[in-house]
Amino acid sequence: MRRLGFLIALFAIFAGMTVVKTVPAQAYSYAAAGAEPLLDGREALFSAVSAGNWDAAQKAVDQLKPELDYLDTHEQPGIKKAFADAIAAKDPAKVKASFVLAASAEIERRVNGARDNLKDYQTAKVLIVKSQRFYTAIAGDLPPDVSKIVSTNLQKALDAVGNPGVFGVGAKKADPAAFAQARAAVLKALGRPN
Amino acid sequence: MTQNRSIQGATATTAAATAGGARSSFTPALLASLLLYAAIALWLASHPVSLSSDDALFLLHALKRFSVLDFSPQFPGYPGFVALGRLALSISHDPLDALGLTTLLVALALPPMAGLVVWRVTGDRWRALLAFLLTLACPLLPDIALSLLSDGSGILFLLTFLSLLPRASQENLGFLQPFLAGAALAFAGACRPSDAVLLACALLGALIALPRAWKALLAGGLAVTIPTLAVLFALEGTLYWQEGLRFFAGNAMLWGNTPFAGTSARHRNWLGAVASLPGGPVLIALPLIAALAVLRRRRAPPAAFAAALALPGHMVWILAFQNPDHLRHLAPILILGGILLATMKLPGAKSLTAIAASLYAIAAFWCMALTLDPNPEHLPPLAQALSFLRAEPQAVVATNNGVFTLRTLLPRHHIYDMHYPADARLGLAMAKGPAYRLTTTRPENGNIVAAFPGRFAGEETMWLERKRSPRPDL
Repeated sequence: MRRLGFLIALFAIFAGMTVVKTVPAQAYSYAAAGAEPLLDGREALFSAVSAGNWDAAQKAVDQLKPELDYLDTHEQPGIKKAFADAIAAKDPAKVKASFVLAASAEIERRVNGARDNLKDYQTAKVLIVKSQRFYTAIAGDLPPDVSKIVSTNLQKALDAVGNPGVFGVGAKKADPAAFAQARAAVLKALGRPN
Repeated sequence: MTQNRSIQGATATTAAATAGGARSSFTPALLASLLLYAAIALWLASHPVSLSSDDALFLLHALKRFSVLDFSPQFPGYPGFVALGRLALSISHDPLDALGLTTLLVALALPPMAGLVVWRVTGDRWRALLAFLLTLACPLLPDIALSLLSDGSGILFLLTFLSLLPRASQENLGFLQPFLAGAALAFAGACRPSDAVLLACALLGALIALPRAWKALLAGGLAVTIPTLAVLFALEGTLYWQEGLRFFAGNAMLWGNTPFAGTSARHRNWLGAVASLPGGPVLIALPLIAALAVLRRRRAPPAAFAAALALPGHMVWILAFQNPDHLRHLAPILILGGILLATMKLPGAKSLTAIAASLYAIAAFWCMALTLDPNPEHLPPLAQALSFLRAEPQAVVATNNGVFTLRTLLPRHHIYDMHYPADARLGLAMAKGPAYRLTTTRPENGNIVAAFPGRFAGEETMWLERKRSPRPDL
């Protein structure tokens, strides 16, 4: 009975640690596994656009409202209007272009977050991994040259984040200069003002 | 009395002659088997080392930089396998060659290890040779050797675990041997965490058969498991478990083609997958029957009992959670099946065992004959598709097989991920160049431009279908 109690306590501590760690530290989740409304909502949006169902497309964009509000205010002014215009024009290419723009803004947001948290390995790493998820979502739509630069430099940014090693063994410090270079290359390729 | 003595003498002479005959016939049989083994090893080694899937690409990345969150490799990380790959990297210096060397050596170690397990269980060299040959004839052995994936390593260390178990539960065990067995099983888990159910059932079988050895077995297991988990925790933190949840849910419900996936995402089940493999039903049914026969025996040798419990456990696991598109998940069943058939002793029905083993061998050879491409120069389907598409620089491709590999090796192409079908279809519809769908499901009434055949069982043929004009119903 005592053993069972010990096991339950151990499990509770472990579960507690996980929960505490997953609580968002800022307005949005840092977790790689956390929900990403833009990524989660894109299939509904593109399904509607493919089917020419523009009412459903509008509803899909409405589902993204909190995320688009944030981007419109902080990262990409005019992104809401870009989506609204694309839906009004019933133009699939414009919808795609707006999505690429929104995802690029998300990449900038996460890369900047990583820059600001470079001393915190886990946070910086997850933010770059998040950037990679957004890049992966639009990789097929980007011009090949841009895609190559973004992919290569996100990898370089990840390397520049460093590595805590295994209990200190093989640890590698973050390299802010290399990170800045990689970040600049990503943003320039995506046409983001730096 | 004299007559009796002469009869006894004659019987003894006959027995000695039979034993001598068996001994003299075993050596040529062993030599012939080793020659066959060497020929198969050379044939496998002469294949080009080439990426056949995204999972292989992720493992390749892991040899340079281990980070599960960054898909280097994908969850659960396969740390034991990556360690083996890095060991090979110290010899070959090229990550791709190191990966190829690792999987080749692992695959080639399986038949002798299967023989060793049976020899340890039965003490009968003929049965050991039979297990060696049945494993060598396993139709999935080329896939294990050449797909650059971790499947073989998990099986190899599971067999190491079985070979370290004592022949009988009454034997004086000591501590070291079961400790090493536990460590080997845990290393199998580190190589192949996705086979956790298989390994847990094997451990359970060993614990039931060897209740006195539980401390040593668990101590050996924990001696490997705790440092492995500590390394993962040090590198990834608690995010490892979150990524695990995301990956598990995605595999079960989105891309894994499991019974829990939405019907639109599901296109095959294990029944169809086994039925479409030549000899497949026999290759699966006989091991299951052999496992049940062993489990029914009161005093089955611990290794046989552990293998017999692991086999149906793994079956249930893959039925529920593994993708039927990947026949390599059947490899533990086929290899443990060969071992159990070679080990099996049916009371009063020796010929039945021989018939079952023969039937299994025939099914394996039948499967090989119908699925194997003997030309070692041929590339995997994904690499063939790469060569084809390289000649079409304007092509736009949608696929759910090898998206990351295609993007890495064809950086000038637009590659869409068909796990997000609406996005991909829209991308194809808007393509300026030729639009293609690369798929392992043969398109019906489609405009098939090229087929890239698989080279052996477990490697699926890919078709390249041209989507002629931009249209929303693609």
